[in-house]
Amino acid sequence: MDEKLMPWERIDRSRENWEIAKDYLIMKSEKKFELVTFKDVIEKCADTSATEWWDKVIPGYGSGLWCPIYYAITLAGGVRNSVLVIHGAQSCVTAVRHFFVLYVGGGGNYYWGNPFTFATTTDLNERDNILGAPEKLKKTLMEVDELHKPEIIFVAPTCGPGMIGEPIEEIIDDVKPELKYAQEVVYLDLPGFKAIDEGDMMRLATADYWTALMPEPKKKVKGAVNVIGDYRGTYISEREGFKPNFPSTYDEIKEILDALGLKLHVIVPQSSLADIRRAPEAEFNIVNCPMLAYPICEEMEKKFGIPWSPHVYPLGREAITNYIMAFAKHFGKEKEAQKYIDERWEKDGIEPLWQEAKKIVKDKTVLMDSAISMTSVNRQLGYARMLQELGVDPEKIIFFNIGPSELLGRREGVEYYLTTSAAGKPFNPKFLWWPAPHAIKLSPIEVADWLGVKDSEILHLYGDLGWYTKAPRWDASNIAQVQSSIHFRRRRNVCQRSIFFSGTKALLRDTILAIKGTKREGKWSLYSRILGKWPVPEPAEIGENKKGISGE
Amino acid sequence: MRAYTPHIWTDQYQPSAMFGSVLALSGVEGVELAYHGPAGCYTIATHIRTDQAPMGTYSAMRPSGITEDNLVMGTSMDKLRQLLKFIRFESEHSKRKPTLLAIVNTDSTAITGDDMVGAAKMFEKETGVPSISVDAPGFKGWDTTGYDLAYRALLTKFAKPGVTKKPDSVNIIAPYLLSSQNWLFDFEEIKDLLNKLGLSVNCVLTRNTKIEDIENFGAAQLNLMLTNEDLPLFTKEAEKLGVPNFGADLPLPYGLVNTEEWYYGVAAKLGKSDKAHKVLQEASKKVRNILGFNYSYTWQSNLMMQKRAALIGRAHFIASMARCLYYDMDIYPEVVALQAATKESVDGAKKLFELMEKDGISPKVLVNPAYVEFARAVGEAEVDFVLGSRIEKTLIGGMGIAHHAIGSSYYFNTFRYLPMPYVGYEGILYLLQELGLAMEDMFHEREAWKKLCYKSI
Repeated sequence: MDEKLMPWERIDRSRENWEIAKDYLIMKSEKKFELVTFKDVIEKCADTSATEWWDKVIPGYGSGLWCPIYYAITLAGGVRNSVLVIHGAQSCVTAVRHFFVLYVGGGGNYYWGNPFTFATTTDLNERDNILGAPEKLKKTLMEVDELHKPEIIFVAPTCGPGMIGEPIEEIIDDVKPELKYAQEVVYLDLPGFKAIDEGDMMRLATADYWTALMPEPKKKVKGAVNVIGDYRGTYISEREGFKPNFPSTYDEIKEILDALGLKLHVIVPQSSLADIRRAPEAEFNIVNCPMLAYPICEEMEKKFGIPWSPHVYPLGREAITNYIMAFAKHFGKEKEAQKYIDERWEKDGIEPLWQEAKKIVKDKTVLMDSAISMTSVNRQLGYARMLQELGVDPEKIIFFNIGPSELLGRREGVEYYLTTSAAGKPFNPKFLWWPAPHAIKLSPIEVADWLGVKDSEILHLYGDLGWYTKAPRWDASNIAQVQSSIHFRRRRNVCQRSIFFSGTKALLRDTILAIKGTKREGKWSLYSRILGKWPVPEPAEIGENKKGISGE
Repeated sequence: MRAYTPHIWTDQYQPSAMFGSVLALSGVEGVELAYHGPAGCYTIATHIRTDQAPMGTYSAMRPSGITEDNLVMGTSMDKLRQLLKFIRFESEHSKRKPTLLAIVNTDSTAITGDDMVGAAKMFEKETGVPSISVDAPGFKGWDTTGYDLAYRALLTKFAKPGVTKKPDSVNIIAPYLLSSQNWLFDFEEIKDLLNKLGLSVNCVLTRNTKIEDIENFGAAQLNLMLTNEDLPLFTKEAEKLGVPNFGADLPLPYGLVNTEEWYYGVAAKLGKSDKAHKVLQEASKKVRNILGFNYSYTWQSNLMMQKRAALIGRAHFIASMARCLYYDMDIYPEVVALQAATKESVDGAKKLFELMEKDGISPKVLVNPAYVEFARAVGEAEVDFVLGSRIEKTLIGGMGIAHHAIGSSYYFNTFRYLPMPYVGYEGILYLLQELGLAMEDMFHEREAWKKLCYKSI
């Protein structure tokens, strides 16, 4: 029997790239969409890298997203008392500084509490970029060490030195013995052209670099657990001695570990050099962000024999239980863990919210709108898994606006989710096949219409309030909308990734409020009036018993 | 000439030539940018261009999507060709014909030496859309290099020689180099101030610029420079077209004293001094009306007076702001960090301090310092607050010193929407409001509030 060809397998590769891109544009205008599943993409593209996908499946839209050096700077920039030396054009650092400030979460980030990053550059000119400038790098390392007095220096090349093969490792080896202050100099080989998919970038930025800083432990700390993989909100506030506006994920993890008589040992990669060096003393590793953590956990297991759990995004009772039980089991603390989960669920008042939300989401179709850069597929999968547990029909959980390449780039995380279940059913959401959302996003309106879903049946989890939020059709006043971007979904007393008990409670609360909020129909928000139509009501339409503008 | 830098390396906010070319070209109405480079550069470029979008045009930009394979195997040029074919199709498909196709590049595609000039010519030949290329990768220099190259490309492509002069008209050059985070509204006010003198704006390089404006560039009497950075390529083209530059030696019109010098300087050059005086008199009445017998203002003034400040930002802008603090607010600018691409800009800024020195204050001036040097200078000077940009907020805030952002680009979280300028007499009202926020940051003891909070809440 002939196996059904997947949409990407039907691409006519004999055509030029621009023609394939053209086909997609026509496909969109003719609404020739189709649904596949996450499993389809992951299993049938087992040998395809994200970069290949960009080049071969979506030519003409092949920009990629972000830059490997952004990840180098972002990850390394949060290591305490570090200085970065970017060998190349100043441009790249200035670009990253823009994103640091609020958006990305690396060094010097407003929202996530990271300290300012000293990101120096050799500021290479045209000639240096073509012919190389090893002496400049050498001198820079010496001067930066003298002036900044850092504990650790990270060196990373931009595209130019990366292309010409500047011998950076040799230069570091030459200089290192002469440095007065830096105890370590780490070479991060991540020039901009190295990858074009974010998942690949994260993999590159974590591989080997961090475990190379870890010596063989002299002792093991009983009950010690590391949390691996994040670059936002990387503080344990009690240990640092301050009270943040928003607790970090580590704060909530620490509370859980403390309750079980265990100990949060260190966080990697964004902590001090001393903490990174102490990481192998732990007995178990748990994960925060899968993409940033899995490679480090695998290496630590190989080098130091530290077992780890792949669970991520513990949202909902099942996922929280699985997450906690993974390490509780290792330490023989299952009973204590179950008791803690039950008590906490009760104490935090989650159950009444759960029951209330369960009733109102039952018949909803969930539109999981990634909107690309503002969220990630693994985070969205965490939300969707909880909604499935809450009672949403798995057939009605539809992902869109996630680049298929992102599924491949973040393959390890997606594969993890596909091994899990919720409400007794395997977790394998549907995915609307539109290959080029980075260039042209789908609007939830065209998705809803194509699916034939009524507005009142929709629960829309969006990553970025985009151009499609338009009065009178699409607004928080008539469509239940829940923010799912990590940057914007910060709530009082909710941990940084909006996970665990506090995150579950917040997602339930937000969902209930969003669904109830659709009673506002006719009272359009400013945002949707700006982007859509601004129907100014007639005086007679305004009043206590009037519905308001009926829409068009 | 390139400005002095204290080290062979840098650590400062320093937008590149690529930023400059993208921002400049995005100010042309109907432009389509073909972005030839890898993902990361494209990502920042898409953000940079949005500075032109509010009250302006949202330029189209598409990437060629260069990968490591393309650079190693020498296939990057093919990617550019595919991109241009797609742009051509997409333009037909959407029935939106660009007024200009501009190809811009990045470090990697500049090193491979891809033939952007040929590609642009081919596109123009095949489509009839005027096409240019601007070779301004990041390593070519600061944003000023990008502006300079973009302006030259636009003028050589479109500006007609020998056009009839329009009396009382000026071109405005490089509005974004005002380098205030409020530059969009500052620019609107500057146009308004010129209009009140009876002057018309002939062509702006670039902001909501039409191709016809560039064609008629030569009709203006003068180019009003909103920057003291050197733009040699532009200047040469402008001279060829018979339009001399002026205004770079004036302070930017932030604050009262600066506004007086700037406005009278502009007016005198165009024989409008009497009118300038009347305009300022009118504006002064409005400001007096709002601040007179206003106890919030008198309170704030008392909070501000004799405070000591540090400032960091683009040289022309931040030197003007330092003067505003000293003359208008009785605040002492103790440390000023000048960030500049060219020696001309540093020299110009220092000149603006000369009068201040005669008038009693000699700020410590740092030229293109590394952030760690600026931070140490701030710490040593024991200033009360720092004015700068949002880039170094966590550095200064981390030191426990009040910091308020007023400089750098508009886009990305400035959260300023009121169509009020910082410039001109009336702009002093908005500057006061900004300084009020700095005072709040300085005086509020938030940590103490947290520590001493009533327990039984």
